[in-house]
Amino acid sequence: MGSPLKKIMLCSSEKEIFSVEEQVMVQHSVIINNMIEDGSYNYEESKIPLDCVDSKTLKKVIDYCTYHTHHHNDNQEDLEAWDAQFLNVDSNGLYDLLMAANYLEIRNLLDLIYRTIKNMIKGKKIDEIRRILNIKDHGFTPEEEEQNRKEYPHFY
Amino acid sequence: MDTTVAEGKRMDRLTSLPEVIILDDILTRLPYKDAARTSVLSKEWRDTWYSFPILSICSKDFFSMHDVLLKNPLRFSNQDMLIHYVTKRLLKLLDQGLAIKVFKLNMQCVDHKKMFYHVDLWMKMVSENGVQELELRLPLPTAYVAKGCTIDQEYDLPLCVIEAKSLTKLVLRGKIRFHQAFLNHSIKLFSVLFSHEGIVENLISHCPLIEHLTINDCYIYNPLSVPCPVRSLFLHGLEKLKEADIRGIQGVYIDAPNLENLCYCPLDVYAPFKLNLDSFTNLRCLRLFFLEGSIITDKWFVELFHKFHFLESLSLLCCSMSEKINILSVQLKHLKLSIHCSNSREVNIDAPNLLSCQYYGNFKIAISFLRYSNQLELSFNPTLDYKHNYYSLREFIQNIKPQMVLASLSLSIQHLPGIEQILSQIQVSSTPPTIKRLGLQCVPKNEALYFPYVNWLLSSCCPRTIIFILHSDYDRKPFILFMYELLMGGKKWKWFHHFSDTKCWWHELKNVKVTSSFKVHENVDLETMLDSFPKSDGEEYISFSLELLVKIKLCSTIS
Repeated sequence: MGSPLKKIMLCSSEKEIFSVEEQVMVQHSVIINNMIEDGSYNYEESKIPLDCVDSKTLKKVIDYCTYHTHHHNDNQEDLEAWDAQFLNVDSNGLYDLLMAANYLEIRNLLDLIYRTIKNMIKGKKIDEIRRILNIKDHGFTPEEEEQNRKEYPHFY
Repeated sequence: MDTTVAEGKRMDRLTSLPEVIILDDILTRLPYKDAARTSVLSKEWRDTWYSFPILSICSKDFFSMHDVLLKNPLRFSNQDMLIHYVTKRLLKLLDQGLAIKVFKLNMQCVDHKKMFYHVDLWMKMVSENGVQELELRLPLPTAYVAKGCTIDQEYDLPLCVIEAKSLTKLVLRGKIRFHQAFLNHSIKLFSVLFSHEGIVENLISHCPLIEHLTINDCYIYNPLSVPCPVRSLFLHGLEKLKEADIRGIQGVYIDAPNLENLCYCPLDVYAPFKLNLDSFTNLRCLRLFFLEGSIITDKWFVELFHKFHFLESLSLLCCSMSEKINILSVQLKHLKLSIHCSNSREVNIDAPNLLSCQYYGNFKIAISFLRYSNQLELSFNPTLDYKHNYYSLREFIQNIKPQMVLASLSLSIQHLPGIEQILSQIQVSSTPPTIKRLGLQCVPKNEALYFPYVNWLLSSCCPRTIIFILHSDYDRKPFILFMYELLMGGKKWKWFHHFSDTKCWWHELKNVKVTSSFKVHENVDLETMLDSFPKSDGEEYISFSLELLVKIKLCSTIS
C-alpha cells in the first residue's frame, strides 16, 4: 500500500529537487495534471524538469498551491489577505511568478497576478506606471516621445 | 556571478514580456482607457498595443459635441486625428495578419460627410478580417432635437457587415439604415441591438438562430416630420431565442418557446400594453418596468408562480402594485422590487429558497419575511424624502421583520435631497438595530452637516461595516476623515455639547479597521489612502469595519 499522500518531484532550473504532494499540484497545474493522467510521470524515477523556473520562484509557486489546497474552505477575506501578502514582491519577482504560472498553467494564480498588475496600472499616469513597472529604457527616440506627448497629452 | 549585470538584464523584464499573449491578457483586463495608455509606455508595450485585437473608439476622446455644435474649426483637425488613429490601428493589425476581434465605434457627434466615407472603409476592413463583435453607436435622433440642431443624414450599414461569417454580436444605435438588399441575405446574429427602423422584423426573421435579442426604443424615420416610435413587434419562429430585452414598444408578440430571460418595458406607461407573457413557459428570469394601472395584484403573483414553474428571478421596477403585496414562491431565488410612487405599504415575502432580495423605494413600507433561507442577503436602497422621511430611517429598519434578517442587511444611501433639514433636530436614543453594512454613495458637501448626518445615520442603525463609494465628481475626503475621527473618538470634544450626557453606541468602539478596494502601501494613514484613490468612477471604495468593545447583541432590543 502506498502512502495516501503520494509525492511527485519537481526540479528547478538550478537542479534543486522539490518534493510535493501530488494532489496539490494536480489540482492547480493543468500541465502536471495532464502528465499524471496520461501516465507520462513515473513515480519511481522521474522528476519533472522545470528549466525556466528558478528555485526561489518554484518554492513560492508550491507554497501557493499548497496553501490553496489546504485552505480552500477558508472565508474569502482571509484568502484574499493571504494572496495579497503572497504577492507582496517586487516587479521582477512578479514577473518570475507570472512566467512560472503561465508555464505550469496555474489558472487561479495567473488570474491573481493579472489582477495585481491591473491594479498597478489602472488610473495611473505614464511616468508613474514606468516607475512602478521599473521601465528604465522605453526605447523611444526623443522625437517619438515628443510626438507621443503631443498626440496623447491626456495620457501623461 | 556579477549581480549588477544580472539585475540590469532583469530590470525591464515585466515590460519586455516575450509572450504577447501574456500582455494581451493584461490588456483585456484593464479598462480600455488604461489599456490605451500603455501604448506610450515603451516600444514593447506599443507593439503589443498595435497587435491587440480589440478596438473601442469614442469620439469624445478626440473632440466634444460642443466643438461641433459651435462649429469650432479645431473639430476638423481633431476628427482627422480620430480617422488617422483608427485607420492606423486597423492597418497595423492587417499588416500582421491578425484578426480584428472587437470593433466598437461610438460617435457622439460627427460631421457626417467625411466621416461616413471612412466608417465604410473600416466596416469593410473589419468584416473581412474576422470581426466577432461589432458595435456602431451614432447619435440618437433625440440628442440633436434637444440641442436644436438637425443633422439629417443617415448612415447606410454596408452589406459586408452581414456577410461577415465570423460575426456573433452586433450592436447598433442611432440613425442607421439597412439597405433593402440586406433582407435577401441569410444572416446569423446572436445578439442584436437596434435603436431604430421599422424593418426590424424582417431583419430578425432572417436570423432564426438568434439567441439574444435587445430592442430598445425603435423609431421609424419620417423624412417630413419627427421620427415616430415603433408601436408593435411581431416575431415568429425564434426557436433558439433565450433572452429578450424589449423596451419602448407597446405591443409585443414573440413566438419563442424556449425563452428563459425576459425584460419588458412599455413605451407609454399609462396606456395599455400587450405582451404574450403566458406563452413563455420556460421562463426563469422576468424583469418588468413601469407597468401602471393595477395589473400587479395578489392574484397576479399567485398566477405568475403557478404558471412559471422555473421562475427563479423576478424584478418589478416602478410598477404600480396594490397596498398589500404577498409573494409566495418555493422556487424564487432572487427578488428585486422598486416601489416609488405606488401606495404599497406592506410586503410579505414567503420564499424559503430566496437568496437575495433588493429593495429600492420609499421608507413607508413594512417588509417581512415569513419563511426565509439562512443564506438570504438583503440589500435595500431607501429613497430619502426630506418632507417626511429623514427621521424615519430607523423606523424603516425596525419595520423589517423578523429581526434576524437584519444581520444580512446592506443599506445604501444614494441621494441626500434637502439634507439641510437634518440640522434642526438631533436624535440620540437607545442602540439602534445592528445591520451588516451601510453604503454611502454620497455625503454632505457642507461641513456643518457632517455631524448631524453621521448622527442621523448612526442613531438609525448600527452597521458592522461602513462603505464609502468613491467618485471623482466631488471630494469625499473631508467627510470620510471627519467620520473616521469621530468614530475613533478624536472629535468628541468639539461636538460634546450635542451629546450632553448621553452615551451613544459608537463611543464604545474598540477599533476601526480601514480597508480599500485599491492597492495602497502598507501602514499608510487614511488621508494618504484617500489621496491615492485611482479616479475611476464608482468602482472603488474605502470601508470601515467597526469593532465594538462591548458586543452589541445582533438584534438589540428595540425601545
